[in-house]
Amino acid sequence: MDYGACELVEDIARDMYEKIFPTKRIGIYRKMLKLEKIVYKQLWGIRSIGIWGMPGIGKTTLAEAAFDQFSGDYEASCIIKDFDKEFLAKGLYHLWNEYLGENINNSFIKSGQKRLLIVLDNVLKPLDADAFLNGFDWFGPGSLIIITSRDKQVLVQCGVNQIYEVEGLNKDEAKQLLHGCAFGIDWRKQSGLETLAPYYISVKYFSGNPLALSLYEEMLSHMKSDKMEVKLLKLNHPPPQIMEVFKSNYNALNENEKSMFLDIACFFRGEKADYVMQLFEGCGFFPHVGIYVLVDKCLVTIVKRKMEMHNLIQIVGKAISNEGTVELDRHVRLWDTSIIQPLLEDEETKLKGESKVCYEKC
Amino acid sequence: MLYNLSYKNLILSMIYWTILCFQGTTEDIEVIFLDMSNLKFFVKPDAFKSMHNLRFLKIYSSNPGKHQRIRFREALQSLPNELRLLHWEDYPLQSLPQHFDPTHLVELNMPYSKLQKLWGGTKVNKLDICSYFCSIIFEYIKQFSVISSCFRTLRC
Repeated sequence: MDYGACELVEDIARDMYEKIFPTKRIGIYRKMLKLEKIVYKQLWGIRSIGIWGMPGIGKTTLAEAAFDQFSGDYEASCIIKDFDKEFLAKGLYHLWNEYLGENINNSFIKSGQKRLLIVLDNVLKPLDADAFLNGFDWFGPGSLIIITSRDKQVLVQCGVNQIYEVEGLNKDEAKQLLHGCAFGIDWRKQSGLETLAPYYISVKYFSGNPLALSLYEEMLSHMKSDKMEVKLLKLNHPPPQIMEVFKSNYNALNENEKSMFLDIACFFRGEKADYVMQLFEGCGFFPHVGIYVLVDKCLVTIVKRKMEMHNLIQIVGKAISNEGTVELDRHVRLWDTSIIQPLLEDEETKLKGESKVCYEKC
Repeated sequence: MLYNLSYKNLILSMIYWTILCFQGTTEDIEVIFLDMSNLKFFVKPDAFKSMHNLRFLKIYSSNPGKHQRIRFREALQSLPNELRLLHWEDYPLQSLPQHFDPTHLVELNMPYSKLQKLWGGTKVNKLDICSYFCSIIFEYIKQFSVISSCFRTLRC
């Protein structure tokens, strides 16, 4: 092992960090280092960074971890979780007073600008965040603003200097999470003989989404790897918690964007982007704007000019498409042969029982 | 009098409701993607008659190479005019429905079909169909400028 001293220290730090926060902050240390690098590369002045990713991927956890890590270096700091709800409920002045009240009253007015750390979690309306931040004249050089959102456009409108996209867990981290959740033991103490395959599959199917992994954990821990893939393919009903977080994303779309999202989830995953766009244009959906709204909201990705989508989002999309009506044959989008066949089949031939004979003749 | 009126209304709304229940089931459908690889049945001639909102119709086989399995006893009466995508592999008839209006069509893709005639009696050279891709049909359609303006793409 030719470890450099630096890497060794890094490893020890990560190890300790994960020991202190055994299940909650798996894989966070790795992301926090990246975040730190981005932040400290920015010029001295008011630094800002946006954390962007799909629901459940760990934006809030990362923001909290960053807050814990950095807050000691700043003269005043605050973290507002679920900023959108808080803002709605309390209003601008109450928020100020509640989170920065003491600082405002005592030291700030007297001593001018300070180094601040402000973390706004889950911002949905850029104007609200702007209103909150613009009220300060006290951002001294070296202050840091961290904003998390599931909509990239919000971060752009907030004017953050850089956007960091949170990636999912890798298979090692997934293993750690599943073992930690399911059995409460540290996976590293177990023998290294067992294969990583099931964790690889689960990461592939849930896009490394920690929320989904922990919700599916019970099911996953009992599955054998060879049947896992088949079973995961058949998943139709995501847990209600997952539906809830993704539906808030979906409900923010307009009608055209909703149709496009559901069409892609049900039928066009993996198709060429240009081709799908042309079809949508024919439907009058204005895809040249709409598709990019979907991309910014983490619902669709375009990889190598193909329409792609995380598995988890596809499962949710299909479930949303089907949930409007209870009756199967009143669905707007049909792909299940057992529903389509009765709709199209000629009942006369079926009743007379001559289907086979006729079929051979025709 | 009032009683009579409301009674009448009730009956009317009940009739309306039953009509909706019987006719409306297929009206909501916007997209059908049918994998016919394990199916074998006759399609009724008015199957698509009430699907006024159908945008995309794709009937394909994920296991190609097998014989056609979806057939007709009578010619198909109609296709929805709202169709943007018409993809039908192994289309067993020689023509599309007479009154099908392809104004909105963005893509027509009918590999391995037995098509000889498109809508409106536009004749298609059989040889062209043997090559079972639409590009040649497209060349043919080009001669009829009215129809060609309907197409933005013909993917093959």
